[in-house]
Amino acid sequence: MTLVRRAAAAVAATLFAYTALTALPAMAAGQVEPPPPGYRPALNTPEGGLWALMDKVEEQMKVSPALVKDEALNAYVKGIVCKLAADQCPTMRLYIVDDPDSNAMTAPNGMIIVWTGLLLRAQNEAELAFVLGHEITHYLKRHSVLNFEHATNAAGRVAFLSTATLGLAALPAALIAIGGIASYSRDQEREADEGGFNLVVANGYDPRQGAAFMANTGEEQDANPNRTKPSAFLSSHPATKERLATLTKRASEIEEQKRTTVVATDEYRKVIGPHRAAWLEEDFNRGDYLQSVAMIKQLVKIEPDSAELQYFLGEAYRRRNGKGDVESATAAYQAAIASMGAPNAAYRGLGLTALKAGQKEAARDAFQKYLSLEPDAKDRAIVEYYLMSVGGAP
Amino acid sequence: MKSKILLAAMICFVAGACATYTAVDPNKPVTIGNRLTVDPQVAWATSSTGYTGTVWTIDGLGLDSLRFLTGITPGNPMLTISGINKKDMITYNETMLPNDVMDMVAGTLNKTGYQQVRADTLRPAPFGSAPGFRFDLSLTTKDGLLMKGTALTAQREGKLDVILFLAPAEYYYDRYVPTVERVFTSIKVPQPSSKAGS
Repeated sequence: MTLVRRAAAAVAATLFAYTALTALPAMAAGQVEPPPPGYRPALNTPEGGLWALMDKVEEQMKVSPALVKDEALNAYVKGIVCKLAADQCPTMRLYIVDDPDSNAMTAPNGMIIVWTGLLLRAQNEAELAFVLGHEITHYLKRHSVLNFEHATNAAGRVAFLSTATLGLAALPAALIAIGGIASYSRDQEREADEGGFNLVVANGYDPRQGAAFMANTGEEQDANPNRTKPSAFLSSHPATKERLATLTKRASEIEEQKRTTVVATDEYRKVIGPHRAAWLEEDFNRGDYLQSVAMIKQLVKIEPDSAELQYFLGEAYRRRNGKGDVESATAAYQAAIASMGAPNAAYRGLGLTALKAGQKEAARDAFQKYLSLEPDAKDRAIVEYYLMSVGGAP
Repeated sequence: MKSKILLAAMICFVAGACATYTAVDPNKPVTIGNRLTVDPQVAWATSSTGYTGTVWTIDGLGLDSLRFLTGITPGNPMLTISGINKKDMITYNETMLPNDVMDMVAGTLNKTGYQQVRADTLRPAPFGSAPGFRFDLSLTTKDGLLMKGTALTAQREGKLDVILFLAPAEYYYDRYVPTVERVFTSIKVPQPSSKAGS
């Protein structure tokens, strides 16, 4: 146990001693009212103690190098949060974390954390709005506070608070801490889905996009049947098929009312566009190329002319390196090159797949083209080495 | 040297790890594995428990680590990670090009808990008398500490060797990378019987 964790455990023990002696009148009934706008519990209440712990976690969050600081992106996502949360907006603080997993979380004190992996996978503003609405609902329904209250025995509360205080150490531990607190029951997740759905519909978003996001998430997960851990966003939630069916049914009911709907695909792409290549590159570090291929194919389906996406699809196939992947990668690189604005690296990728296929002439042509377009490439030396291996000159 | 080992042991204790350290004689070549021999150059401490491969450090594993992962065979990851199933790891195969190996190393580091792992500047480099290649890394620890790294790898007779140096970007990397370069230069391996590094 590290010194930080020892200190955290001591804090937890102290808080337990305090909370064990304190009544919990406000939430004893189980079903709770949403907190009033600007709500902040008194520090001498159990909920206040929980908030205080989360405030400490949030302090760590604010200085983490993993935070995405792009002001335009933060303002855009926070704008959606505020649109959905309405008068609760000032209470909800948004943090975007540079992490390739697809996940989002809400802390009891109104802190919402969104992973870049989720922003990469959402295909439009309406899909993101559904996820944010889901998270906001967890806060409005005070699910984590209720869970704390329902940790009925002493050991349960100590465990709960110990999990919370893990976050005093550093950002990843903070995320674990919030993850522990935000470990909701399946009924609470269903309630958050329903709440998120209602919020997006009330704000004019296309009601079908939540279901679309769930469908893509499930499809990506199914792409790797050997994966031993489910996607972070799905791990504590009801079965994807059940959620998908519920959301689809609810959307069809709304459709019948012929409401005006917003999808906002272009606005969304404009804001995440500057980051997408880096996020796709980071996704490969998860080492799950089966899922990477599935996810990028989903993006290509709605943006088939994107040279960037075709290039990264080629990269995903090349890394997966399974049966037929050299051919698939080659086709994707060629599609990228045929599109407007292809990354120069598509030629390098084409050279690598040609090399693997034993096509020396094609490899030579592709590598030479790459170096002609990128004379100062950081990897020039290795590309020259590849070129020499196929009898070419830089 | 004793004080450095003691320091490493203290860091190990505080960090909650349980490795046992022994001194590496700076004046004697060390045979690591997969018939790889290096000259240590300086007095490293080595840990033989709790880690895959051989790990050397000067100031403690939190501050610098030189990891030798040798003789990785097709179908296997470059290291094992407690709590992570082999099926969820990137595994080596003989058809990998240097780019693929670099991607595997970056992805494996991500699996160990490092974040924002980026690898670049892939280039050929001698691995003793065998052809090898190098690349550089930037990454962040779980605690948000910015790290830098450099790797020397080779594919020899169907097996992969990876030598990986990691240290905090501030101060420690620049302090020790010249020593690591000398260790890299000192590598001795048997003459390759066929082409390697491609």
